Amino acid sequence: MLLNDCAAWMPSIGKLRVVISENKQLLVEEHRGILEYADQRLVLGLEKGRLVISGQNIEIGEYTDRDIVVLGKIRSMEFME
Amino acid sequence: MKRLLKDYQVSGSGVERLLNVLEKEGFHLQDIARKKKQRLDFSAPLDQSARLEESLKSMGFSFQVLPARGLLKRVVSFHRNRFLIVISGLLLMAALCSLRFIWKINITGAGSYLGEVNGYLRECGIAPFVYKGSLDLQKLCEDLLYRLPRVAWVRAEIRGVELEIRITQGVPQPAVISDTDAGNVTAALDGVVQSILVFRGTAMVKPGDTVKQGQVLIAGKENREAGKEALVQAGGKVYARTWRSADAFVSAERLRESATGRESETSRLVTPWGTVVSQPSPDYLTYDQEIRRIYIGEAWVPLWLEKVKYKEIALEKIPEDIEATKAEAGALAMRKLLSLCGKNDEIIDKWLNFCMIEGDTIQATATAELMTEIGVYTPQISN
Repeated sequence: MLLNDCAAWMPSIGKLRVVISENKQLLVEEHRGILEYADQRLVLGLEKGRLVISGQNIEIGEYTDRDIVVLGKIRSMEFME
Repeated sequence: MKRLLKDYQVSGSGVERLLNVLEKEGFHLQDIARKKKQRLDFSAPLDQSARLEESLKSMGFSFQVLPARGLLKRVVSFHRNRFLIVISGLLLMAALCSLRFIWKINITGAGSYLGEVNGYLRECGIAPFVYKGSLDLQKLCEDLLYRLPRVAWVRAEIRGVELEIRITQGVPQPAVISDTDAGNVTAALDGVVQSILVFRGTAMVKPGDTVKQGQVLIAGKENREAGKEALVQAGGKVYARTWRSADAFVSAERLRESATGRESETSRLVTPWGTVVSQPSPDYLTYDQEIRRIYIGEAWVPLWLEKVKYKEIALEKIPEDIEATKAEAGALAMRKLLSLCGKNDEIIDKWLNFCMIEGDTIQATATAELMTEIGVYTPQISN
């Protein structure tokens, strides 16, 4: 499973955790749902604010109600209020 | 501008693949939430819904359109109820437009001039449902003041949808009392003259004379040298014995109430504007009633349920002690008499008379003999 393959060297404490592997794989734990997914742009809701991920050939690898794995060439990751 | 969104619930396996495919096909998905392993909720623009539904079907996903919310819900609701909304809007516009007109004309203080005022308003075309903007209130006031000679003041104002015209009639100027012309001292009351003191003028009565109210006591003329007569303002003090009386009526019976034991209760539904439904009340001649009001809610107007308890009472006449009643009537008559006397009046004597009149009522008459000044200056009026 992709989720298990990702580095989990920090114990999960129920807070947002973002793990990026090179720039091709991104794990986001404890998100609050996908607010927007279009035009190679993925906006995730967080407990406080939003996380905007954009790049090339962005795809959702795995998606649960708590965690999400984003695949593709990730160009930018922006935390917004 | 906000786009209208349509909500979908999609079931099937491989929801991640579905999302990726939809994104590549150019669908702008929002609020994507994974409810269960094989269930996904998301929103898509309304203008993409037809194409989206075809894509979902072709990919083998079953979907369900969720009830409209937000802006779309309001739009759908409007389309379903547009007739009602349009009618409501027209009624509101009609109500707002009607506020620009006068609905009622209220004229106060016109007295006998009311007919003329109404005639003037008819001439000018001022009537209920006239347009407010067409009214010249200042001209209206000026015209009415010109037409009605005995009117001192006219005021016209628009209060809400009512035109109020207030007219104040003038008070006629009183006759001018000259302070240089002659005048007499006349009697203000009937009486027997006890003493007369003349400052100016000529005494027309002497002590012991019986005088009537209005009779000249001191004439405003004096004899001068060579038989000439001069007119003066008479002055002087005339004291006389007069009488005043006052009556009081007190019943020699009193009513005693006693309960007969018969009671009944009725209910009625009331609003602030009156009774809606009511049970008939019992046919007791005399009764006490207790009313208990219970608020039961609102159906466009507030409603109360009133429970009325009637208790029949019998009235019995009980005779009072005659002497006590006479004393009470006498005291009352004396109090009234003393209130009629002036502070400079000297009471020579006072007494009471009693009699029994119809209905077992005691009439007490208090009479007082007073020594009082009865002269009052009466000027000659000049116009």
